[in-house]
Amino acid sequence: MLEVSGLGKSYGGRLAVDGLDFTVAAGEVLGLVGPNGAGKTTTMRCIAGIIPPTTGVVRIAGHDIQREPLAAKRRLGFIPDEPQLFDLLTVDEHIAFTARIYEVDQVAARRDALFSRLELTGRGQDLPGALSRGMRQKVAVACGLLPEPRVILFDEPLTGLDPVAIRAIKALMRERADAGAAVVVSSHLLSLVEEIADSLLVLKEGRRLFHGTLGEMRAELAPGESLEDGFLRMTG
Amino acid sequence: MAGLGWLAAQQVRARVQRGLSTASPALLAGAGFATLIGMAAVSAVARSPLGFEARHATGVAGLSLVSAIGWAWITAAGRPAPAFSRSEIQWLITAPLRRRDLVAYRFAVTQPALVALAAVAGVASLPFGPLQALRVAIGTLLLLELALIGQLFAASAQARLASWGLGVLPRTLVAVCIVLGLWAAVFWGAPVPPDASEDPMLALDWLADAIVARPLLVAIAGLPIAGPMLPGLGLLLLAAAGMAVAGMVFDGPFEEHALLASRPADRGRALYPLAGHGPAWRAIAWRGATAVTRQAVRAAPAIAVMCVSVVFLVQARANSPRDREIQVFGAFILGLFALAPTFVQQDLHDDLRRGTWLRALPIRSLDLVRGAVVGGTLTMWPAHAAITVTAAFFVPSMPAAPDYSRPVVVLSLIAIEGACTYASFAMSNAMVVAWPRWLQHTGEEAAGLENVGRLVGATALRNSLLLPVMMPSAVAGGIAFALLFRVDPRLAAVAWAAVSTSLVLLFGEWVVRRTARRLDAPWDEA
Repeated sequence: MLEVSGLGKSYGGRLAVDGLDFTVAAGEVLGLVGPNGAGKTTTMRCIAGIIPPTTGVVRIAGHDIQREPLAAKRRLGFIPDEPQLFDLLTVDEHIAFTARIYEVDQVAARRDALFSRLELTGRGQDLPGALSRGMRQKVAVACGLLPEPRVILFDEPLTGLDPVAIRAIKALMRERADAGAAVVVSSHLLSLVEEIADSLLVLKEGRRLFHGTLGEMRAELAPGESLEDGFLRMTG
Repeated sequence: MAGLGWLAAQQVRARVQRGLSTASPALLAGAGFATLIGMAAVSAVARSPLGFEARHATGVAGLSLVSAIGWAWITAAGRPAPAFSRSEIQWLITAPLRRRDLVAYRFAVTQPALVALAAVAGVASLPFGPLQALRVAIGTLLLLELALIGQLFAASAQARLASWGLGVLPRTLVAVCIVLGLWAAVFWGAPVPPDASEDPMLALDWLADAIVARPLLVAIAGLPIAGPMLPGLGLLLLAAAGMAVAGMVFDGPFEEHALLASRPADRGRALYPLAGHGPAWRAIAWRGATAVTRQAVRAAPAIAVMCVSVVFLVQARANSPRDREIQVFGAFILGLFALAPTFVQQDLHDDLRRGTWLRALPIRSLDLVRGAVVGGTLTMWPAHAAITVTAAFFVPSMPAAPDYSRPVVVLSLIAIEGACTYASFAMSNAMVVAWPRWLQHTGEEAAGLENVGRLVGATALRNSLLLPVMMPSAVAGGIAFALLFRVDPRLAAVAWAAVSTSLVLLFGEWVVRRTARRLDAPWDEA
């Protein structure tokens, strides 16, 4: 579903991502982890078509994000770490705008279901300025999931959310994967990754340190060593 | 309190430094342009018969001042709090500081903008001699300080009234009573108005002049003059001291109001509903048009004041009723062309800061740019059309002109206006893509004079770039306009208008495509 091959990105002479190869199959949740500056955000942005890679190819459901950007992006949902809403559009209007751009049918039913899950019911007429940061993040998640994309990228998705919303979004990630989507979650929260991810990609300085299932990762741990300990040893 | 003083000093220093930095040409552009405008305005006032004697300057200054304070009282009824930014609310309102310290802080950090404005007014008056320039600068500063104190006092008093359980309506009524009382007191000392029954237009002109435009300039120039002005000056200073003390005494709880005021919570109906399916650029245009209409609702009072000012300033200068109407409508149309994209920036100016998200959407750059341009055009073209149609009703035709001529010429004019509006918004969006660091919105409120400089510089550049292209249309439009009111129209003029419209539209489309290509270029953000 998501294929990344030979992905590299350099800014001037500085190499941010260096020759990444990985795939995320339908129904799989990949946890993308690494210390600050590891290249997680650059990788996510290259996959989403926000910045062009220096080398390599990204395919979303078979469509090259550079050569067929519209076809690829229609199958992709990107939920950024900072919700970037329009100041003068209401929550309902964000949904209507997203539905129009992604050519979504049955908008009302999908919106109501998402609003109910994310506790946004009754906030449809609010402008973003009247919402807390967590609520704005929920609106961004609702907009990202509305088109039911086949590949979903979550960039630090749980920042600023309350425990109920965290639980709801984790459940939504899993459900979307179970429904056949390929999900990539970039996060500093190893507990989140351990809880919902099927596989793990550990980056450091733009390079892949580990890529495999959680079971394979655990097999590499020393006796009594936690995932967090293993991560720290690997990236230290 | 010492910490607050240090913060205020740091803020002032940082603003001045940023303003004077060579990396910030906005200040220089803004100050330069404001100087030119100011010189033109002062010299126009100085050369024309004012209708006010110098001895009336105190009364007129008072009139201007109470207008400003009255406006503050009425607006504070709905938002009873001094204006604080979100970061100031986060850091200062939660800190163990007294309310009066916060008000004093607000007063202190506003000073650089007031001093800069006074300096600009002084520089603009240099043609009248250094002494007059000094007087103007001091007078301007004095008036601005008084207006600021009045504003802070109104906010504090209204917050106290709100804490006593008075709702918005009773507080507005209180504000209106206070304003009327102030006006009555000042009118008592102001020049005698002309008899409205003899010449209503003249009386209306007098009222508009007294409230809006020239009095401020007269007052600025006349206020610091010694002699007969001193008693009035003393009274105003006394009023300022009284307001400052009363503001401290009232000490109204404004924290919650300040928090609410810092959020853009107004909303209104969308201009038109968004269809479920269709080209992406129409969705972008819909988002821009919706945002602009909501922005316009907020700015309605300021727009109304500007419109009234234009009407009366133009009317005061016109030689005949016919010229008056043509000039008023012409000023509105030209003003819209020249200024609308500056104030209507719900397009790429606002969208570029969301680039990370927008670039992940399945939208072509061409759709993004075209939608942004169409969104602005959709909101401004109807305004042009409305002005033109209104002009057609109000301005009498020449007796020789046949009846059918009017709709034909009006339609031609509206077509030209649509094309020029499209080209103007295309250029505006092209500029923000070309110079994003200078022109795009940051999401934070821009600093006063620097923001003025940014807007003024962009307006001047855009209009000067557009001028060579729009000149043929302007000529065609001018001829059509003249034909509408003076002679029998010829089909040739209409054809010329059609050609101009097509050429300007083609130019606008060329700019849109160039901008989209620029936006398509690799976007390497750090």
